[in-house]
Amino acid sequence: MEPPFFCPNFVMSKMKEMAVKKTIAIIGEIQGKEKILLQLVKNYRLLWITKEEDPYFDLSQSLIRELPEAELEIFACAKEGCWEADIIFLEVHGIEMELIEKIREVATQKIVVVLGMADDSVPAIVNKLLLVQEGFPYSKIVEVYQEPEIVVVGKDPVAVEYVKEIVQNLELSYEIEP
Amino acid sequence: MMFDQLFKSISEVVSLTEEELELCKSLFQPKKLRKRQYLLQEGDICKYTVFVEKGMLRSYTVDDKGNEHILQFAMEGWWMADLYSFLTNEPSPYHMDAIEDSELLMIDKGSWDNLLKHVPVLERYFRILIQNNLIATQRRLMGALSETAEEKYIKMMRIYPECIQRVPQHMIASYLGMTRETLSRTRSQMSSKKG
Repeated sequence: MEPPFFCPNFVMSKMKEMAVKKTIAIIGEIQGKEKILLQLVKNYRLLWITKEEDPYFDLSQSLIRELPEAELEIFACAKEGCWEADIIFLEVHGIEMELIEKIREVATQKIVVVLGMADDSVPAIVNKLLLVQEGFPYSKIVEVYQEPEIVVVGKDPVAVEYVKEIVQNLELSYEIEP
Repeated sequence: MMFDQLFKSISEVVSLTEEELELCKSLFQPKKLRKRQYLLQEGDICKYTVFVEKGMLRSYTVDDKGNEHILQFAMEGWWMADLYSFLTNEPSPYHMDAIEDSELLMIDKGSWDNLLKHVPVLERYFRILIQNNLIATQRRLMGALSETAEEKYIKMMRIYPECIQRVPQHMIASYLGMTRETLSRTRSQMSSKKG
């Protein structure tokens, strides 16, 4: 793209490598994901969306106490959390029409990452993914699942690359399928 | 409602069909920003042009002495972007953050091109927006070169009274290109003249 009709000669005081920290909204249970959470929180602001009656609510509160400098918050309202988020992580098991309807409007043009589980049966995943594709027509859906390597797929190549970068930085012991 | 201010702004210039309005809704990303949260930092590429539905943003630079120089405020119904960075993918010299808790509608370059392609009447809307911005920028530049502190402040009170009420005084001073002490003295002198 050609520069516009003027070309300001900016004097940049300092070129900083630090970019604005992106916000990830995570909807789902925390159990078994503490290690991932601790790694994600180094580079991202995390909004964990969970109900107070969630059995792992106390666990998530203790994580907040362990990492006082980290930007990690608990949200009860999925819509508010996803509105603030740049990227939304959804667990396959947690996908229901009610949730999709709540957050559809605020998920427009955002990356929505669907996390599959190692023990999910294929038909169960397929049904949930169809629900997501129909429920978020204007979002960038990226699927992450294990097979046995971590697989990252989606229609938007930029979104897929971005999610691969997030997953790679998690120092998982799996290979990322190219 | 989420697109109220944007559609009001557009309807003041052009008319869109229901279909075109729905296309608009599908291409803008809704984003909530808390007070003091960054939208853009120096060195980032400005990937979005932003419309303010609620709240207030500012764009500014920080010099080597740590002094802030505010380029622009944006309140409800206003747009904000580093247009050069947005159009060329070059790093921006600006910071942008929220002065108040804000609700924004953001659109990236690809979606913006898509919008203008499928809703060509919006070319007129953005053309008028940009020409108004150019006129305001020229006037502000002339003011910076030739007006007294009092004249600058009076002009801002006349053109942007809501900014004066909502923005902290030190930010008003930065925007007007004066120290907060100069602004404080100027306001005192103006009060004395009235009395």
